[in-house]
Amino acid sequence: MRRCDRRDFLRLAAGAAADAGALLAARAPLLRALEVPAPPAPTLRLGFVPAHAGGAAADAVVEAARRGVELGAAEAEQSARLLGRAVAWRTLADVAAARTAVAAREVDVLLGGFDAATCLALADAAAAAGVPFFNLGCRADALRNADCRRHAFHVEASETMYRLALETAGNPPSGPTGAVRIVLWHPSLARFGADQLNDRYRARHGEGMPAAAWAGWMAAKVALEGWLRAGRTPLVDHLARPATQFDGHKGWPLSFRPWDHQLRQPLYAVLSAGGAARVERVTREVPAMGVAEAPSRELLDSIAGPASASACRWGAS
Amino acid sequence: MPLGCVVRPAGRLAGRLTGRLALTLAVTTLVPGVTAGSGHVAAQQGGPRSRPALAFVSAERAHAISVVDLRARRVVATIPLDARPRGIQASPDGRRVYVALSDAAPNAQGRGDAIAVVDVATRRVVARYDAGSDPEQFAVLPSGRRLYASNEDAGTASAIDVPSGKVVGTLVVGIEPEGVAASPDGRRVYVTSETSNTVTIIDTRADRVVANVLVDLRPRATAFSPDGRRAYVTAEVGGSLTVLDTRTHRVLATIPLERGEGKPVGVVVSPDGRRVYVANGRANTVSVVDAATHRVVATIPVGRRPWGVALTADGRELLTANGGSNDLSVIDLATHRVVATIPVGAGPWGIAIPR
Repeated sequence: MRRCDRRDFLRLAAGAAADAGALLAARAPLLRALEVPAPPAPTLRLGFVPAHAGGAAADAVVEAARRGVELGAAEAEQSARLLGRAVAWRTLADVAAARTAVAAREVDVLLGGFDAATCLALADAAAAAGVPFFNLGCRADALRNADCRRHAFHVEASETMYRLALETAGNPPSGPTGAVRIVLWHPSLARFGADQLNDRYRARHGEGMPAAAWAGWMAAKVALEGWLRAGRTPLVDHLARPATQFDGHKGWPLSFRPWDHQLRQPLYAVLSAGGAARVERVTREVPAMGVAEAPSRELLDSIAGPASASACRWGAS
Repeated sequence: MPLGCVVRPAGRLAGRLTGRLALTLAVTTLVPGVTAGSGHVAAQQGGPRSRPALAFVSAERAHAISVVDLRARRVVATIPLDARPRGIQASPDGRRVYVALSDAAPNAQGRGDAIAVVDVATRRVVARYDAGSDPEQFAVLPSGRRLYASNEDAGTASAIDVPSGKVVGTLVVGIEPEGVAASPDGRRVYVTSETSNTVTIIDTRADRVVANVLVDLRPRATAFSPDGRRAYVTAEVGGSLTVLDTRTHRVLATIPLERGEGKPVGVVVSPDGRRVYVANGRANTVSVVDAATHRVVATIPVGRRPWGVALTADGRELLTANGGSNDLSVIDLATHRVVATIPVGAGPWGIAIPR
């Protein structure tokens, strides 16, 4: 008998494909009958707490943070769905509501904190339930030192970071109306996907992404990433691991410092000029990203103070 | 259906099968394109050709392609473009070069967003394909008839029919998709998503997502081993190379590069599959990784901010596109030394070498 040639293969393959199609079509009703509802996807539940001590300026910051959480939660949900998980978020009006929600296991993560007293109260509520609290707006150094809490993770930079970054930024050229300030994020950032993030925020909210919005977005992203990668490790412990790191579209691997849970991150010097028609531009990143110099964590710690200077001693909470 | 011929199925499983089913399995290993290879790996496996050894380099700030004669080690032509070029790939037959173009309007598909087709012989743009919003990277299947592009702003990947130039499918992937690579057999396309930190695996026959895998931070590019069993994914912010088992979709290893301080982007696998070469971006180096041990066996200083990488047809030299120093580094892979530096257009991003 002759050996099979390419034409034989193709002819027989076509027949086999037709057979398979017919078989599947015949079985379709049976397969449908065997279908069972899919179990609900494991869901990460975020609770945003807008409570603050008051003031119009704080209102604007809180609203920006809320918008950032909204974008971050939507993106976290989109990413989670790819991996068979889900993300949900809700607003908890005040500390009491937050305490009730985490105690009842209705929320897995708290986000908020726009004054030191509320930050402390939310950290304690989180500790009581064993869940993490992401600080979005409290800069007080005390929260990273004497008043530190094991369950608090500071996405917002500390007073020390803002001060040292301003000193490090030096004196960039400024006109009579110019002023330099340090920010956590700026809508003009473009590298490492910052432009895409700013574009996504602008598309959703119709304005450039303010710093407080980045903090809210980042907290939602960190919560998801930590949850996805923690495995059987409690989320709080996973977040505090030295090896755990995150991407925040700043180009550096970002991580929480084990000794005070401050997020290591660069800040940005912004030159404002133009009076009422304010024009801003980022003049530099602080610290500047290096390669052949110190490891990135050491560089980032240069604006946040060393472990040896920290007064944080983890207590029972 | 009578057989009318004799077939010797390959492999233990096939040996237990008879008749039409065995033939069906055998056919799946012989369909056109399966042995053609794809992407970086297959590109090295073509036979000798009479055409000159050329590299086509996308220069994103120059809005042009620099055509480099690899023997003379100089630019011999510049192909002007009307938008920002980034991802660049040669067709499997070596007659065309495709380049992804983006206009200045993000989050919206503009006139500049396209994949341009360059005729290698005439060095002219001969066609433009609609590739969705803001195409950045793409992969050409070994058949040459299908192309997949990432749409960074839309969070999708577009499947494009090459003969007609039409988008024939759009698949939802992760947020901020970037790198696109086709497996050597052309059956899978991997899409990295920088914000989701995922790799989306697409079945190209069904145009269906079959898996999503969580990888290290900010995944940028993928390369396959020649046998298709491993996929290597760079993570720019993670500073690492993730090794994936392409059968199980499991992460086998995450290899730190430059002590985790590199910014790895471009990746390519040697023709024998033993070495993986990674361009470390801001670290200004190339890491040489042993594919068996997952260890870094050499680190080679190159120009500033290397992103794109490509191997020459004989597999003896590696090229890096150095976006910060506007040149290519040519590395002799026997000595792991840079043997030439070739100035090119501003902002070199990717490299395609038609075979």
